[in-house]
Amino acid sequence: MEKKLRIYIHIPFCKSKCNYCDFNSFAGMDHMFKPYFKSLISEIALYANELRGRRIDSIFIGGGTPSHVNYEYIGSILDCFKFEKDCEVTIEVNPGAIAFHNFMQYKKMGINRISFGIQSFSDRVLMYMGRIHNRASAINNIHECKAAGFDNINADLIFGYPKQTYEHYDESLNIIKSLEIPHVSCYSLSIEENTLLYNMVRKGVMPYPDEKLDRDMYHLSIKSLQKAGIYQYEISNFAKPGFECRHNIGYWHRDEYLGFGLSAHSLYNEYRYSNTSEMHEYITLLDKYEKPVKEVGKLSKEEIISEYIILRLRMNEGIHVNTFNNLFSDDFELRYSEKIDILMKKGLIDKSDDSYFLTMLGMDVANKVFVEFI
Amino acid sequence: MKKERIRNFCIIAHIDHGKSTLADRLIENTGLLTSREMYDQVLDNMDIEKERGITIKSQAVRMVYKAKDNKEYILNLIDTPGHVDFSYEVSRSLAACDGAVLVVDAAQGVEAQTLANVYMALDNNLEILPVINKIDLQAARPEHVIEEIENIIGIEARHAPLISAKNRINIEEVLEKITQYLPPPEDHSDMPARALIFDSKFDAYKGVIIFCRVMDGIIKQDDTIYLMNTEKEYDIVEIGYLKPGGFIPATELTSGEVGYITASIKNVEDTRVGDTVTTIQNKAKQPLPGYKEAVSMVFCGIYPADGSKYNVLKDALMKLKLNDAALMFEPESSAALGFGFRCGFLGLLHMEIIQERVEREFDLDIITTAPSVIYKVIKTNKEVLQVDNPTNLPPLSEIDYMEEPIAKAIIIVPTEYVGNIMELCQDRRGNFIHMEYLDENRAKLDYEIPLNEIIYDFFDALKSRSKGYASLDYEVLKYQRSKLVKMDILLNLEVIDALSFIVHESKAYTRGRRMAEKLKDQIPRHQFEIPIQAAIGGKIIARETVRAYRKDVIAKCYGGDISRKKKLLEKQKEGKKRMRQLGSVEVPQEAFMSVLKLDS
Repeated sequence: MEKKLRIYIHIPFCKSKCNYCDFNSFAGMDHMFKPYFKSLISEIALYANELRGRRIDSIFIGGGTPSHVNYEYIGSILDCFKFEKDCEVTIEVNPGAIAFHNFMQYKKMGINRISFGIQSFSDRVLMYMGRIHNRASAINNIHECKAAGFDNINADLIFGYPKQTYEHYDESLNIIKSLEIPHVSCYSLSIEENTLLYNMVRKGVMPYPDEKLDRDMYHLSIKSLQKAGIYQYEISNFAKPGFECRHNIGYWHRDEYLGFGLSAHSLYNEYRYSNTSEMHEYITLLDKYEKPVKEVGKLSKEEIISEYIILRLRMNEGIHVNTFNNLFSDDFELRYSEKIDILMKKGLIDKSDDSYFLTMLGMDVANKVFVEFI
Repeated sequence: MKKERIRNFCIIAHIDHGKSTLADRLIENTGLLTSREMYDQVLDNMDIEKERGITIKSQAVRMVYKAKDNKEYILNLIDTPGHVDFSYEVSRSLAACDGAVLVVDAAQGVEAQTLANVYMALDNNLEILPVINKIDLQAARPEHVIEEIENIIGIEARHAPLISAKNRINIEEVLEKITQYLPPPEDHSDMPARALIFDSKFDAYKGVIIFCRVMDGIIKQDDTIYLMNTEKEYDIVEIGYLKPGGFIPATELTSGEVGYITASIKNVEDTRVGDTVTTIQNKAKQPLPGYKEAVSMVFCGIYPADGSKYNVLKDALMKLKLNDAALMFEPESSAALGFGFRCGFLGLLHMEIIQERVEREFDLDIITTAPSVIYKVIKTNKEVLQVDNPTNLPPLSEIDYMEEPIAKAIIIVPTEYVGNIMELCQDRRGNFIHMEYLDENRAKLDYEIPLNEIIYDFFDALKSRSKGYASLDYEVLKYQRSKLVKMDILLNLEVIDALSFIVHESKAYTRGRRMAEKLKDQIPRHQFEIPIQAAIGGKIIARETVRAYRKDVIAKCYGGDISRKKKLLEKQKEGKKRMRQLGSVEVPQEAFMSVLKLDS
């Protein structure tokens, strides 16, 4: 059987930049659509060797706001790949930046999963976030999406946002459940430097998020969604059985993936690559048919093991001792006996059925566990 | 070589006035090194010396100069350490000379260290040749500086060469004036052999290399030397003269000459600076005067950050001691830090240099506890203890009273900052002795200041309150009765011995409070709340709290960007490495030194 491969496509354009966003995305750059997609296609062409003979198991079109660009552009990219019907093909869309006919077009070109950047169903919180949509348009979009025949739908939510209350968040979770959305990503806000929010908090315009409230909201996500049969399978991800995101699981499982576009990342043959984050450089390099790769690093065996542990621990399934031992011809429990001991005593990890996984407390402070294995 | 054509001299200067640069130029001009071989400041060998622009170890170099009278002169330049911590070493280097070149910055004029060095040179009966450096600076005022030298120091300066060592202006004139104004050594060749050691260093192949100036008699290649203070005897292996970065073997060194001796000596401790070398063949009765044992003034604990590296640390200290007889250390243990060493230093700079060298040259992470001076504790039973570690202080009930070392400090400062500096000295429990105006712009302040105030960041405070213009020189004068208390620091209700310090009663409250505040900033949040308390004899005088954290997780993975996560975790790991586990609390290594920064 052909070895599977995952594809990530980055679309860095947005209608407007959100207050908390420090990701590589631009608003007001619509005149760059054309040259950017031309470069994107050139870039994919440069990877013909890597793509040859591989079965593409998932494609993820992320951003930015992919739904902000005309659907023809998206179609032109998907045309570059050969993939079967059972390939998971996701596109990220933002309410307020998508119309019904787009869903129809997406369906036609083989997209079978829609990921909505909902963030909140409270208009007040959406305003604090600097989002351009409101609750009504979001609900509307989700109905349109379903009407177009999509059943595999994700909603992103943010919690721990300044001035967001427990009640606001509870309400958002309830709406998700009532809309019968089968996949939810609940992200605890991190305030990144170089964002509007960072400056607002620093200047005291917005309060610093309360960590206890953040955790209360997190624990609420787990309990509330579980009641609706939506189970946690990763620190920030929840799904009805069978609706887990294959693409994201691929990242945690260290499946190979190629990322195309501005500042996209790849894992291939135990090398990690990342593309330039400069739009101009990206386009200029591809005009010369050069790969826009900025950083390359071959992973050592130690790094692979460390990644394996950290990424697996993000998942509720955790690290299966035998699988680890067979994969690396090593003894997980012997190698880390001291660390395991301390982490167990602190109540950060636990073991059952021959697997180690993060406890609820461990998920709150996961970095403290990961850092032991880096 | 006739004695009248030898000149043994040193260069003395305030820090940054251009001593090392001038030394380089003299070497360059006498043709010892071509400019391609010449690499800036040959005499400062260590990285730290180059980086900090100071000279730590003495060095010597022999130059041959053909003067305008068409005669060849041997110029032995003995480079002296440039910091107050090493004033004994400086005094021995000066004793090996007959004259001194005094470098004064044409813009800055006479400074505290200039004065201290000049006085020491005059004590050693050296002839002094002033040189005005940096005359090409915009702010240069050579006439004024010449007057200053004549008025303040009281030596003739009209003939001083006006030079720029950096830009190679008038270097020849310095060489010429050295031959004209500095005296040749007196010839005592017929007396019993006596040579003054002004430095020694350990060489992996030759063993210890002694650098010395022969004062009397002759030392021959096949003699057996006898070190008069350490009472050790060795057969000479090699004897000769010095050139930059190398040696010129010879058959003998005679009175007035400067050179080196090797004799398969394994330990620099046997070749102490200031000791006298004589020979068994022509043995002197009395050693040369002025020998002193190195006395440690400042003490601190040095611990490996990783407890299992104790032996590596021990090895590092032993290796450094091979070249630094003034470094003292003995094993000690701390409840908080485990096994380490109590180390004694000549001063704060000496301490910093050793710490830096341990970390740099031996790639060791170390934790240093707050520096301490030696306190005299007079117990109720009349027993007298010398305490250099707060942990060793007896219980309060057994102490009758305590004494602390007092330093005599000379501070030179532009008049506009006199107020600031007096305030600082007052604040540091200084006792005003005297003030005089050196000219209309500068004043010299004499103070008596407790040494424990000087080692707590005094120098930085001095600089920051005078925009960097004030200069300081100090030496320990006496011990004085004083009301001192021991401050304990509790983390999560446990006393951390390595954080204790001794402080004067009048400052205890403020220092304790500041210490708690500092630690609050430095100790990372844990999963639980951590009270930080400062206490004197069981009484809590200050409290701060480090709040608990509840969340530390990267929630989102942007398009498979695993590296971003890894970088963040690696940063956390780096931070963790600098942490020391004290009971249940992780404390960053810097925290152990924070007592030093309480006034900034």
